[in-house]
Amino acid sequence: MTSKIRRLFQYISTAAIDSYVKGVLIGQAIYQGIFKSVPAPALNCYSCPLSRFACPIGTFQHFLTLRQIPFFMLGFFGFIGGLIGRAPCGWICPFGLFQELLYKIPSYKIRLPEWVKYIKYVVLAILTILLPIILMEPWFCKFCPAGTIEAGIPLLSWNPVKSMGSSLYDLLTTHFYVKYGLLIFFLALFITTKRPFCRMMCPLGAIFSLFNRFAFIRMHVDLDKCSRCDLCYNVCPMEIRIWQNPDDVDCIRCMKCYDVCPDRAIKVITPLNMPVELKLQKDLKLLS
Amino acid sequence: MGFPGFLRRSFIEFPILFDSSVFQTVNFPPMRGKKWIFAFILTLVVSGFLLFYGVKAGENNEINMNASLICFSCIGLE
Repeated sequence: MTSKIRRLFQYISTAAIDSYVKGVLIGQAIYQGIFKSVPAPALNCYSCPLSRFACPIGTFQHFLTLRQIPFFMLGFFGFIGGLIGRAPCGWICPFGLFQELLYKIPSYKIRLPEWVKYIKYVVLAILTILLPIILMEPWFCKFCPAGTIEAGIPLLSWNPVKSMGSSLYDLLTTHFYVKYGLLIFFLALFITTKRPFCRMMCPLGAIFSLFNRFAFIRMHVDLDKCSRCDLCYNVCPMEIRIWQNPDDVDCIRCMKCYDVCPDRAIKVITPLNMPVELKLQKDLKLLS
Repeated sequence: MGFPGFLRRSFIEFPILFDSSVFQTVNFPPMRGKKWIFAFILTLVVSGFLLFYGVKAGENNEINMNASLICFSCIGLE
């Protein structure tokens, strides 16, 4: 039941974030209104003709390319992460929804090894922070497949500057072929693997994941009730065993595990309904 | 369904080294009791201050200006 509510929530949030249909109708390339002052709490390219909000990672990099401390963005990440951890990835992100829908296509399926989850921290450190500061260009955007799908394909097909006697195709370089080659690679991965971009590449997921351990909303598994049947592992879109670590950096709070657990061992906790074992300051095993 | 032969060796067996030693330390024990409450309240307070400071410094106007232009890096052009 919760999974169905989540899917509905994903559709509604995608429609809300990418809702500037009027722009396409009147021939405006991208939205330029007041909402663009605020980033969406999910990876969503602001160059998408339908997008009403700024991209948090694009904006974060923009300030770094100017060699300014992005105070607003740091506060934004901390506020969202501190409240709900990585839940926006599971409930709001249009690109996450896109990956989940593509995975439904019947094909040969691959399980990625657990260590791939650490790649996204390298991507965050190098492509999203270091290179933009040093080379003063948004390096993650140069490879981001979300930007290619949401902005690249629509804008290049539409070519909105054509009426001005110019063409976007005049600006094609090797970068274009690298970016679209990468997109094809990721599309193949989306069909065969569960949420590969979120697990391996997403710098926004990497930032939010740091808050999973102490966010207001967390997951909890009652290990006395849990029979370790691994049903939760099989349905998990991030392929984690929540009973091993409910605060796993990859948990996107999608609640699929909650829905399938036959032992009713998984629940959502906050400081207001903290279970007894977490109220203790030390682990029971250490006390005994 | 797992990886076929050579991919298994390169992607799964080699990194067991990482899984078994270095990165296991990343799985910290759950934050509990007052420590949890303190950590999340501190995060919200610091974030609130940063948001307030950012808005006061006019960062939202900068965000708006940047996001209102087509990002050539995003669409694959130079």
